[in-house]
Amino acid sequence: MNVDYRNTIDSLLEGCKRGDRKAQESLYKILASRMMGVCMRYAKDSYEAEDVLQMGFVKVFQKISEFRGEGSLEGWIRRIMVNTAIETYRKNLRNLNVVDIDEVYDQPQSTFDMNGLELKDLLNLVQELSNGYRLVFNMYVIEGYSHKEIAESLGITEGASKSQLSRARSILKEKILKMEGLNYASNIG
Amino acid sequence: MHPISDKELDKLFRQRFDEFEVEPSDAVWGKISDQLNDQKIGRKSYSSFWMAAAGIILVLSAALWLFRPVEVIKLQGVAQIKEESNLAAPVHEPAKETITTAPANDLDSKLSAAVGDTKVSEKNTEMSNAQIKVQEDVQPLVGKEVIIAAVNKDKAPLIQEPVSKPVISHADSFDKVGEGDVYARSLAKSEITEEIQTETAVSTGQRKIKSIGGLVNFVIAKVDHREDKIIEFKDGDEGTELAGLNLGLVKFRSRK
Repeated sequence: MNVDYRNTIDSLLEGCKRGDRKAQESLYKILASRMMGVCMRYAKDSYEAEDVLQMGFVKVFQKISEFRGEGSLEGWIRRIMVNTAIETYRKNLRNLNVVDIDEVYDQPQSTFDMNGLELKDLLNLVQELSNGYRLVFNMYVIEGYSHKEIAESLGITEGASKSQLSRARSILKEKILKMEGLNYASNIG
Repeated sequence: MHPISDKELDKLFRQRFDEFEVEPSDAVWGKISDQLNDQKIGRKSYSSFWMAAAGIILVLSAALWLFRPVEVIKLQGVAQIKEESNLAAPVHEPAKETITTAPANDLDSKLSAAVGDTKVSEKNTEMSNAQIKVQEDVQPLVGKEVIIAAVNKDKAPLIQEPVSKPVISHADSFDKVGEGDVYARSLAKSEITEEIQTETAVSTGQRKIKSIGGLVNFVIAKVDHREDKIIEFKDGDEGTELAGLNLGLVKFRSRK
């Protein structure tokens, strides 16, 4: 993150606090694709991700006067996006969908080793996790939340958070190995 | 095929997702902007309601304040007539029964003199020319001075009192000049009493129309049939004042 980028965000902050629509749009344009990336990890698909992005930014502009400058504005916005995703998850808790592992092989893979896995594939793997696993995995591994924070956010126990994380990890490992195995097999063949 | 450690897995996802960006569709900003606009409009319409309410109150109070001075003159004018009648009555009574008794009112020397004159003339059962003259002199003054007194009655009791005194003597003698004896005077007295009553009735009737507050009460009563009207005025000693306010939840009622 370079200095100019930070300065731009900070200069837009005052305008956004005044409710200046131009400043809001500029801030959105700067951060939208980055935040969309966050939302994509938490959502099943890009439609759900855009819904979360929209709700999240409306919240950002409504609450921006509460931003006290502790930490970066981007970090604060990112947390709002994650919280919005969590709210969406809790709202949809009843329609929890079970992952069909076979779905992974629907798309042809062009990468061969783990480091060669494309971002798109990793995203697919994460999105294919069941909602609960995906949330815990994202929050713990990518966002760096503690199990205690996750438990509080999702309204579950710390033990449940830990077991969901370990289950998510094993599912991901399994899928990656299968992908590698497929590649390995295709290399030999 | 080596087993993947948790550390390796976490590192892989963290690194890849660190700079992960996806361009959302263009429609998203439009939706955000619309949503923010809706909330703004909602807030605006809410506040404009209160602005309208405040505006009505402001205009009402400004109108009342502006019309107040005019109101005071009219009210005092009516009050003056009333006072005159009230003062006239006691003067007649003592005059009829005990000629030498001074009126109960606290009158100054000038009034006593005037009343005294009247009594003297009554005793003789005929009016002296001088007395009539005095009364005639007083008569044209009455009209003017009543108005002056009406304008500044409370603040200038000194002006007012001399005025009312001639009025009394005038009214008193006016009837007596023609009659000339006690019987006729007693008749005149009853006539005057009637006159006073009708005068009072007229003055109260006029007050309703004359005062803006009365007008408002009249109009409001046409629309608002509740016991406590949305706004109600009363004519107090210092002009029209707010007697009651009923805005549903907020009610105000001054002591009657």
